Amino acid sequence: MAMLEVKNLCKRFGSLEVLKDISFDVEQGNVIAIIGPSGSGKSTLLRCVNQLERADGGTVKVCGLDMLEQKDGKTIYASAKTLQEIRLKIGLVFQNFNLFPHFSVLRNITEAPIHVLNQNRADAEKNAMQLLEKMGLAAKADAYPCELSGGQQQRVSIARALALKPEILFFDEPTSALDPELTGEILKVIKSLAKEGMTMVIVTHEMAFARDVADHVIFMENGVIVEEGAPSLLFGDQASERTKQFLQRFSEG
Amino acid sequence: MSTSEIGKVFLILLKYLLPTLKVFGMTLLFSIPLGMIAALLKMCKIKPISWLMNIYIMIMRGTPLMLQVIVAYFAIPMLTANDTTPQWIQNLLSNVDIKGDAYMFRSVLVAFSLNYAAYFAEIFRGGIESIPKGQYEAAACLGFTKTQTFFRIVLPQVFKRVLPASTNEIITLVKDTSLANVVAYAEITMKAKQQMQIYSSLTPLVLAGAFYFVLAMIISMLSSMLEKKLNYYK
Repeated sequence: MAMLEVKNLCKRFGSLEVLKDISFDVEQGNVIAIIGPSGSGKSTLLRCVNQLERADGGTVKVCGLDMLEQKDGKTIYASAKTLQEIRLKIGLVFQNFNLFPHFSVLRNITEAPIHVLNQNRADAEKNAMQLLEKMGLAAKADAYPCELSGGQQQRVSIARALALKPEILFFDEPTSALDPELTGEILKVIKSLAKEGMTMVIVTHEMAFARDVADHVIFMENGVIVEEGAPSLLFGDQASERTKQFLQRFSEG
Repeated sequence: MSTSEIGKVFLILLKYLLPTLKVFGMTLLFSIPLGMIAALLKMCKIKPISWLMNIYIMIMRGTPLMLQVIVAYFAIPMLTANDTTPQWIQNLLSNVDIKGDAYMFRSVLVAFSLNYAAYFAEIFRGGIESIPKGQYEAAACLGFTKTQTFFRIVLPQVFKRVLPASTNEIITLVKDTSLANVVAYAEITMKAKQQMQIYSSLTPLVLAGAFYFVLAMIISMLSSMLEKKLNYYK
């Protein structure tokens, strides 16, 4: 079953077309990596699907729910109720974590389950502790975000997103704000989520990781999908000239 | 002045500490929520509302508080006495009892609250605008409503950020209460002036100064205690 169906998605900032007719599907259990140079529209794509930006055209369907439709040539968003329902089906992990600094690690994770899903506190905390355990951060439950390393903060933010039990998890360059020696711990967490069958869409600059963990890689540039396919295709000899060029420049640094 | 005279003056001033604290406390009670509302209205996307708030803040910050106290006190009696005032305003104002201490206190409170709300509004606006956009985005992705986001995520962080600037305002307010004596509101400064004339001595004024000084010290101590308490996060 397709968890996410994006068709002809368009987004403009003023006269600048950031996304031009983007279409792709995500099946349950898929791990999709989106790669491409800066300014290619990767982050904007994630932000449109996560309702942080309003798209200008196209259709988006999440877990069978229409989020964005075209009717009589007009771009129509679903009702506020449906949009909220969709919101809770997807989680987003940000590049710079965006943890709530005034809440402890535990409360960062439990706040939404308690006040958005109306879970009782004991259940929410039990679930949060299990997630922290999984992230190797159970000992940090009472710490504040400012007391954690970047890698630990990012793991907390992954736990925070998982606490709402999303159907799809999106990552917007999850390791870009981290020191090189801290990226490994995040990539390990994402890999273990992939093993559990979590559906994920990852915007990343970690090419080796994309090749390693993704079932499907999308290469974007200037707001269009230049090439997509299995990692063996995009990172192999059959890839298009443009993709090869990009990857080569990337490996040169 | 003899020691017993100083003691007597001290007790008189102590008695008038209450009306001073009444202006101080009530002004805070009204001006802080009003300031928060004004800050939110100024950030409102509907331009006319934002402009209106801008004009209000400009007038309040651009004219002396003493003048505002005088205007607030004399506006109603002046308007009712003036023949050119429209009839409906006359009717509206005719019911206001403009005699007595209650009216005096209320007019002082109106001027002080509106004035301080304007200053607080700018402090709060700065605080709200300093919260990174990512906080709103994270909250939105987690399904929080706008109201929940404001009260659970934004406001607690704003509180910490505006505390030092607000403390400044609050200390200024303690001393500004002395401006109420311009409409003969009986508070410490006014009584100190009277005692100065009675005894032909500066001592009552020094005593009055000591009262303000102690109040300001207490506020700044409370504020730094609160700041330390909020230091658990950055």
